[in-house]
Amino acid sequence: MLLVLAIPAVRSMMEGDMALHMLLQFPLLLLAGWLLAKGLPARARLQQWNRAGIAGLLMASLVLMFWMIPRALDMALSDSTVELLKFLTLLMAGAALKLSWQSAGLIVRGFFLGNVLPMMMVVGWLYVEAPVRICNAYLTDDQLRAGSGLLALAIAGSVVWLLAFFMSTNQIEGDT
Amino acid sequence: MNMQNEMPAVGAVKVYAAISGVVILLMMLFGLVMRMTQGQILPIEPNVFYQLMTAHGIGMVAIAGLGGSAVMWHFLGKYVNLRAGFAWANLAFFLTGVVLVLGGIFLGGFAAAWTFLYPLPANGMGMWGKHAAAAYMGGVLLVGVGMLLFYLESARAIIRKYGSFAKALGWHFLKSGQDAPPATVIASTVVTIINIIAILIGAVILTMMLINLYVPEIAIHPLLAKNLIFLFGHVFINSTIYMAVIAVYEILPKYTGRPWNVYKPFVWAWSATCLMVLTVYPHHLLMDYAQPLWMHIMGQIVSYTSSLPVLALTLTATLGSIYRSNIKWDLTSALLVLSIFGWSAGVIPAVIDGTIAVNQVMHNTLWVPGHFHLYLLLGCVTMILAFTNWIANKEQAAGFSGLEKAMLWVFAISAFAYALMFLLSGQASVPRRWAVHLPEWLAYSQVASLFAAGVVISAMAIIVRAMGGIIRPARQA
Repeated sequence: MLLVLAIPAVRSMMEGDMALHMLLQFPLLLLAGWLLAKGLPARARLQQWNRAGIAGLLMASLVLMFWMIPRALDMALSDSTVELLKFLTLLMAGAALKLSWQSAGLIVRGFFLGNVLPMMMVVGWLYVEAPVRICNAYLTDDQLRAGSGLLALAIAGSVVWLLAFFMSTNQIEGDT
Repeated sequence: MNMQNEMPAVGAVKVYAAISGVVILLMMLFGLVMRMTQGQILPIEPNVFYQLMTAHGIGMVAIAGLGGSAVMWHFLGKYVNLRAGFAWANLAFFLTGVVLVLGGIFLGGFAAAWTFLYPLPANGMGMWGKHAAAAYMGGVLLVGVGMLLFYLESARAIIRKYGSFAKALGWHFLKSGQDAPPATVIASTVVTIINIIAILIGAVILTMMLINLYVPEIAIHPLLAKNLIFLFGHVFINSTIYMAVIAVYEILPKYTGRPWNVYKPFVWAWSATCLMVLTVYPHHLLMDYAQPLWMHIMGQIVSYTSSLPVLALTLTATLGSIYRSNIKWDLTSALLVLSIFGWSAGVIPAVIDGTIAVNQVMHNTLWVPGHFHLYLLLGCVTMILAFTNWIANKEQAAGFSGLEKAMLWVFAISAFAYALMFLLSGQASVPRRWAVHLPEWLAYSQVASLFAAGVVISAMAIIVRAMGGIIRPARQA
């Protein structure tokens, strides 16, 4: 998946549209990171640095926050080093999510989602309401579509999260 | 599944109750000062009046939340394993947030009312700056973060014990008629669901408004802002009484000797309330002509139905459990029964105001404070006072001295009459949120001030007495 995403034609197709860039390429990179981490053997030393998944989820939320900044998107498009960093950090965020999710437990997960989902809503609103183009590389229509998509994704994520509370399970993996 | 862990009130709950008592008293004093100012008994400047009004509003919402949380935490903890660290973390966020809010109001001059309706916070017109507004909104955000932790811990503990929210709400009981969760768990689950949603929505609108404060070019659609603010604020303040009523479910049976059993209508009522509390807020936007018509209609219909299921069942069950029960009357049991009256009576003006035709002429009058003072002062606050008194008496029935009886009656009559003066003022078209009143309106405020003084004096006696009971064991230890 990572190799496919890195193919120049696929990359430019996805990055040519702001909505595809943020709402398709980013999640796919996160998924690739998740799958990579799934294939790795469990490392106890790593988990020492990631008690209750806090460090991992914090890192993932910081990475997501950074790549929602319009200037960062512009830089990724104009500078290949930043583009490489984007791939790497999103992969790492995906891996961090995988390594942290199980041990995080309901509260740390809730805190992570309670931060990331409203953040996506606010950024979506900013993209929709900003009176000017906020990315040099994208037109206002792109920005509007990306903003609306972020809002929709955040609302859908919130609904799924809430519904998960109703799923019958006695297993809350972590205590945090 | 329903076995209770009998345990005494622990430290965090006592601290919550003590802070609630003190702040409630302070807020009552602010209310007295405001009514005396409107009655031209006190010469308070309008800008100070609006600061007091803002502090009184947000202070009461916050402290009703904290007091309700104390009730919920204490009794939910008898059924599920809650960890005290989260109660302390919530308190730390709460106090830090309160410091910011008070700084914004009394140092920065912020006075845009507790509802911080967009775009008022960004338009202080020289009365306050954007940093004051930011301190206020940042403070509210911090209180929300603490509360989110509190409800996430409640959610974790409930799911760990009952498996899912569906089971904690008793949906399996509707099918099988077996193994109903306790009333406290059902109520706590509903509050946890609605407040997690409300707090996240509050975080979104507060962050949006903070951004707008410093980058005004990025505007917010005013109607969207109002919808989000009221969805957050109305759900949160509604939830306070749904937390506090747990005191009735848990304490009253100790006096009547009749357990508070859960029946299918009770489960239906709370599940319906869970949905209706989230959809009732548009009754605060009935004057916003740009609001979609379907939301107006929803606001009116849900206003009629929202409070009724849980209230009707709680009221009926309360009366049923008291009737011929040889209930032992003391201050706690009397306050609990009084609170059910306050809740029931307080809903009536809300339902009237929720009618679109009435709302058009009544909503911006003192009729609405009449509703929420009945509902909160005689309902929610009275439940919190009963709970505070209960833990002060080491969770046992106590004697009922003549002084306590006198204070109870002064409180009940003064609080009811005080709320009634708001309703009468509203009926006479006296506007709300005005610091200066016309000469024709002064008599309402002056009479109301008299009753407000009665509320303050009686509440002070009740709270000081309870504080003594709460603090004494700690001092001895």
